[in-house]
Amino acid sequence: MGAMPILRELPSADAAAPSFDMPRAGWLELFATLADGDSAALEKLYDAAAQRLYALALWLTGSPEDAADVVAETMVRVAQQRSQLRGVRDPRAWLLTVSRRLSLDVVRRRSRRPSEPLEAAEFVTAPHHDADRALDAQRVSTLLAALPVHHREVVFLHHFADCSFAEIGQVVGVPTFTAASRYRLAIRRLRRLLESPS
Amino acid sequence: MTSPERLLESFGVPRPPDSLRARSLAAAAATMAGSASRPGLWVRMWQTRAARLAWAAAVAGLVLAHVVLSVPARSTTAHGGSALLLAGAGPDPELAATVTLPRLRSNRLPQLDVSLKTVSAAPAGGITPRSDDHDA
Repeated sequence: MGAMPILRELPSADAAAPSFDMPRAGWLELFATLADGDSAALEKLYDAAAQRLYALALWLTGSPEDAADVVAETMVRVAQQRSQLRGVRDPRAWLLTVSRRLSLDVVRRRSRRPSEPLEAAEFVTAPHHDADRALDAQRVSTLLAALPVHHREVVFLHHFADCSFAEIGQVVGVPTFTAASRYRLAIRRLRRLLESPS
Repeated sequence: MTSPERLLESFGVPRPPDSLRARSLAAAAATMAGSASRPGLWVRMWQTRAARLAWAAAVAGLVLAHVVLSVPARSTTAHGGSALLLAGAGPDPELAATVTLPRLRSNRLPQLDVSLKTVSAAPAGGITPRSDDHDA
């Protein structure tokens, strides 16, 4: 069984945005500022979270337009519920949960009308505009599109949102063990897809 | 073989379009401004004189209704009869006998006490007539 070109050793790159990975105390402070009605804090929130929220929505909906709508709606939800933000214990998980629910709503609504194929979605990107890596990213995106959505979301949350399995369980609404099991199955399935000649 | 995990770590995720920032922030800021200028229900009620008067009138009406409705109920309990009789045109003996439970009669003896007395006074193996039979 021949390995695909994407199986070669690849340099690690494109580290996660540090702002999204700031400690919980930073998130709590940001949410407290938002709860006070400081609209300038919205910009900080967007800069910290927009890329991950957009990517999560893209992984779930497969549509850049829908993903952009989800991010905008998530920001609106933050503004709407600002009086309750002070009581949020894990702001990062809260944002991911809101974004995930909005994305699933979009998917449910779209299931009643024709949509563009999921294989066309760009789930991962290559860093540094490398042409070879861009081709690899396209292939990996195609393989990720073959995963069921509940597998794809745990892969995203674990790899690109740096969530522990406990946090994934909190976001997805399943026990920690189930989140870990879904991740294991998703990786096994992805490995099988990578090894398949087609 | 490179594991899928190492492979995923080597890629990034797409960035949102640049136009999304202004659009999202404008929508969120408008929502925040709207929610800030619109106080909550209780605050609005407290600040509006008409709403305060309406609230006070509603509370007064509820208290008055409670008092008015509880007075006949109390008098019925004191009388020992049924509210159905009071609501009717006049005291009908047959209706009074029907709606008044025997155990609620003031001169009714406790059933257990009567039974014990009867059993202790009855001859062995005999059938003891119930006190209701005597009443009838």
